[in-house]
Amino acid sequence: MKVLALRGPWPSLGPQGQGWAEAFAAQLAPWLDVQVGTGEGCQAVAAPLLPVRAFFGPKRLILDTRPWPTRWLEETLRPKERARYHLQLAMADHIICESAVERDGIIGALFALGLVWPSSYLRDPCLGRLVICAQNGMKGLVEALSHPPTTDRRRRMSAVLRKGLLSLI
Amino acid sequence: MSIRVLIISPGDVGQRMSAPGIRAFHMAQALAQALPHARITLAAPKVDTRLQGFPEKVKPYPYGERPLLWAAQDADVVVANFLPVRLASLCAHKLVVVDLFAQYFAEWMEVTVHQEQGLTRDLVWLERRAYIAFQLAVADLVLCANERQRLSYLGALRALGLRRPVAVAPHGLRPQAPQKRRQVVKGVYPGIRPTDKLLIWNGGTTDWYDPDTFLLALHHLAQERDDIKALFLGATYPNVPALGWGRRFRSAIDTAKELGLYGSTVFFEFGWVPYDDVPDYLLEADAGVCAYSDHLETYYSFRTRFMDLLWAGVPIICTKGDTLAEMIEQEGLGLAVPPGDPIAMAHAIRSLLDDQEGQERIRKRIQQVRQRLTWEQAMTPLIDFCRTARPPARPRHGRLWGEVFPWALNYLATRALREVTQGEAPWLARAPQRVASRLARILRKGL
Repeated sequence: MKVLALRGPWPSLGPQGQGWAEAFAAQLAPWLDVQVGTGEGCQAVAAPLLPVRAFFGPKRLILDTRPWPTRWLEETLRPKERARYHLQLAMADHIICESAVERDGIIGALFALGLVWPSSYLRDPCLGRLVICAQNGMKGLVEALSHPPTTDRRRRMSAVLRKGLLSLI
Repeated sequence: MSIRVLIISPGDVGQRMSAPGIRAFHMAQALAQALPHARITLAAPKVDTRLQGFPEKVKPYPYGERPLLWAAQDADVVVANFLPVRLASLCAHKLVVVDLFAQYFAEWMEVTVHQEQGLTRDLVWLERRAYIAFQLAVADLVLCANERQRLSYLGALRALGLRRPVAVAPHGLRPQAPQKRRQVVKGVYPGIRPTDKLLIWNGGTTDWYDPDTFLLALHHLAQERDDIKALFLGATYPNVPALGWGRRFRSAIDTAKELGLYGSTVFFEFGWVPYDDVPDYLLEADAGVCAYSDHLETYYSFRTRFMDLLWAGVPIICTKGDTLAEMIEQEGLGLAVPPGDPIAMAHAIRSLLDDQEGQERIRKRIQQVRQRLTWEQAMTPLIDFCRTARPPARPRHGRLWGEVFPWALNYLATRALREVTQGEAPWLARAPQRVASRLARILRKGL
């Protein structure tokens, strides 16, 4: 299994370097099985210009929100950032969070954004494979990776395109 | 100036009421007691003021007969389980409290996946999601029933770009002490002897419950003894008949028949037991039982049916997964077993019913817990909000057009789309007829 984990932030790279890192991740994407975005590296998982990766990209995209989960949700209140964060949620096959408290917040956000569909709920009625609590280790992620993704890629694509277009405005 | 509060219940307030009606009724009671100068109106499709404990100073408003808008215009604070979309514009001038005492995203998802199929299922879900988002957008304060619900609603609000306070206001216990007026089950029901042990399934049986585990446990116990009887209390939900006589309730009857328990070990109360008669049933019960499956609805739920059991001092046997099951386990108010495990449930029933001392211990602990589960305490966030509430000095048009109307339109559009795909006339086409019939009704009544 080929895995690429991107860990941010990269303040020393500057905005141009950040863009290169994202582009580099995108170039590698077709050859990967799993891509994990951690910290600011999450931006590379769902860079606004890369929704096409949902078709050609790695088989699984994992969003690791752990370094700054509260800020990650608070950021969504700034309209300019909101679409970008929504895009990340929409792109992710699995979302990792630190504790049950953060998991509740993320599940609420996913429902409100229309990113949980009846078909995906039927496959995973506890959403335990979609939003993974890492409080007691990574057993949940291993379990999730051993099953097909919960979310339907076609539906996710429509959400990604819709929210991706918004993020460009 | 005294504050004017309007409480809107989507269901009837009277002898036949389910959780929303019960909640609105006790909310009015708690507010009337805590805010003696407030003018409180309780609006429901039907309001029965003969209900035990109906506060004299609360004005009933049956909106099945009169337009709700009239009552709403005369209020400073509107408290609603679900604010009707036609009242959306109120939030520009009034303070709105939305009482979401379940995690409705999870609850309605559970209903949607079981009741609908194909494209209709997706459209129904989109419609329901937009309706909940509209409720969040219109609120000045969101009430919910437990901390898990609060966190998930906060996440939803942030994702929608809304800043709204969310407070925990759970269900409380009835204020008066439980009193038995007459014998209703033991020795009365054909097949239930006065010496039998009675288990009560208190409330309806909707999609998210798991009566099969309970029935299999009873089947297991019926092989060794015949003194354990179970009564399902309530089938038809008031105002929402489809929710009661749904797939799950029918399957429970079928399973009871298949297992040979129907009419000998398991009994069903068809209809809905009047609110003031419920104590008669509960005070005969040796234990209350409820089982549900392992899913998100369970995780976020606050089982309001447990409150009446605790009020009557009845030990509870339930499945794990929700916050009240955690409380029951931690505080020793009964027993919680893993979901979907009939053998574990049979063992729990046997051990509880055969241990008289254990039952007494549980009843004593319930008495202690009851002190902190009153409606006055539960409704503290709402009481505080109403006490300090100041209606907006200027109309909040920005909020109305920027946050509320987009979700109202989203809901109405998805609803129309769903109705068209289901071959129904969309709401827009039905609206003139509905308005005309409502006007005719009002004119007939001379209001």
